[in-house]
Amino acid sequence: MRSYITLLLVSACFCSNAQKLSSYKKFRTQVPEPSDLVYTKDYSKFYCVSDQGFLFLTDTAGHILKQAKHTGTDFEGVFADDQYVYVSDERTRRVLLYDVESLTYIKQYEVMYSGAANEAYEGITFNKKKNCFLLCIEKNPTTLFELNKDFQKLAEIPIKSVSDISSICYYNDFIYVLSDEDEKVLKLDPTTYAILSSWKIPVTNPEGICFDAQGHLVIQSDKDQKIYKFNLAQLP
Amino acid sequence: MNLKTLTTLAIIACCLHQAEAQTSFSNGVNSIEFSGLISGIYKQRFLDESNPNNHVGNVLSNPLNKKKNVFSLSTARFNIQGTKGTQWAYRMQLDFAQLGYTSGSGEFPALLDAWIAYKPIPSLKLTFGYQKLPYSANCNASLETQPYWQRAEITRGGIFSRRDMGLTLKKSFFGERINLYGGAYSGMGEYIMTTTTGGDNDQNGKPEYVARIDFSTSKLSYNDIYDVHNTQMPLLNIGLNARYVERTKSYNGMADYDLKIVNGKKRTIGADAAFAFKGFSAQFEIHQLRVQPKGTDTTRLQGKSTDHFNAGGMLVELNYYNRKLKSGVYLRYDNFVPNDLIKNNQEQTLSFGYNYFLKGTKSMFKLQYLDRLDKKNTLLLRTNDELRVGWQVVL
Repeated sequence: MRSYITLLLVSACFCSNAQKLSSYKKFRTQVPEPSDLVYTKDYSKFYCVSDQGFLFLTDTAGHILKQAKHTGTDFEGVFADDQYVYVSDERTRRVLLYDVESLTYIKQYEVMYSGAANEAYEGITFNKKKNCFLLCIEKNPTTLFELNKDFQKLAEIPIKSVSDISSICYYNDFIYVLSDEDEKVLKLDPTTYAILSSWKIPVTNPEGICFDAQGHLVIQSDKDQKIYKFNLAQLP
Repeated sequence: MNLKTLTTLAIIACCLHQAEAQTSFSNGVNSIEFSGLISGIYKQRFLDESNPNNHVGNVLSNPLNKKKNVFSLSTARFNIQGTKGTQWAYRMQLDFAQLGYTSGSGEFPALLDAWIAYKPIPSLKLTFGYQKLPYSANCNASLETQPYWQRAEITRGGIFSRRDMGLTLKKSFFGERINLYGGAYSGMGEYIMTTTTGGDNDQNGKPEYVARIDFSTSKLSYNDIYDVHNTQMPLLNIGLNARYVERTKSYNGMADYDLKIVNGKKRTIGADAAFAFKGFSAQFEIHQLRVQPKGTDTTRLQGKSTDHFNAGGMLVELNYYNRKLKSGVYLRYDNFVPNDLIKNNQEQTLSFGYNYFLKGTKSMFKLQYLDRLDKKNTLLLRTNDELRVGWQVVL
């Protein structure tokens, strides 16, 4: 009995190598079960999606300003460019396009994948270095799909160092991958997808990642329905 | 356990960890997913030679009865679940291991789930069919998340049913931090799906009523209570539940202690609490049954001037999961008193567990040692220590 408890305590001493970040600001978002977010082009608002298949426009304090009329099933990833808001629907394996101003539904693409229903498209972004979209497979296996502008698959890149991928974004010529179960952010080379750095984030169930105009890391928690901000100066 | 046994287990383990995960299909509106769970274990009981119950025919001069030292198929499940649009969901799950062992006439049926759920609004869910009851957090945590091969006596399904046919209403508040459950069921528990009842209710036709409320600091999944996600924010969950049923016939000789369906009134109340933070987790559950037996079952009152007896038990679990080591170490104390009118009949067990997560919970090695704390008490059903070791794979 005593030796068993000793084993339990000794094993507890093993800690992760990743540097731990502390948030300097956190606030609640009105979006229920928020699963990803991205800033509008002028950084004045967020596009935010929820597990219930809704796309919202919120202010930067998380207050809902507008909701897209067209709904989906299980929205998990969001990305926006000058023309469209791109939303990944995990269960239906679709990417839906909305107008950036009106949030009017425009069209959709099917991206087939037969893995577990709720372990698929958790995030979407655009890799400017390689001029392709990236869709991330949550787990079993953790993978990035490179897709052309018609959402045809170009390549599959395994990401082996995390238990899962819950979101992805492109910022300052790097790819940032978020892991929910590891509560970790990975910085990847946009060409080779090699891992350059990683940080632990004290956020439960982190599902959304983006950067604000000042370069602060923004993380959204699904379970806690909160948005956390981390100071980029902490990043080496 | 000899070298041959260990070698066999190692070969099985090497084959199984190659298994892939679930498969799903979607037509853009509806989705359907197929998955499976297979686990095989080796069980070894350490028999006390001085206890006649451990010998063949319960006679001390006969050889020890070692029939429980055996390879066993713990479970072999096939699961189909899916969604129809955003408001409908369904699940059908079958355990081929139960089908093989009992052909549907035993304590537990091969059918594990057969239900359809409707969510008119996101915070409201109605589930109809054969399903898990909203009672006890431990009972609602799925098998593949359990660090032990055997749940604590009070929650393993022999004292109160874990599944039944009926209707559950769930209403959530504050992002599922507060959940209210209420339901009406056949009251026959798992027997409703076996030849024991043939699908019939008790002759009084009354349902069993179950209610539960739980509070959590964060949206809770019962499958998270062992914290294999290494949560970085403390998570606390507290649940209170109760159930009530009246029967006119007992079903004896099926489950240990014959408490599952008793002629008379049975009221069960329970509470549970779970805490998780950075791989550390702890759970506590307590359940108390108040049984008012009728007819021949009044012999359970031991001739005392009372109309009821109490039964109940508790469990306390301490756990630590280390992702870097792909390992979890576990400690559990549980006890159970089948009848408070009989003295010195409290079962107490200390369980030690070790899990090695080869591929998360999708492929894992589990070891459990059950240390019976009262080995000499012949009133108890379980007095022998036991080792269980095996492999679990989610397909």
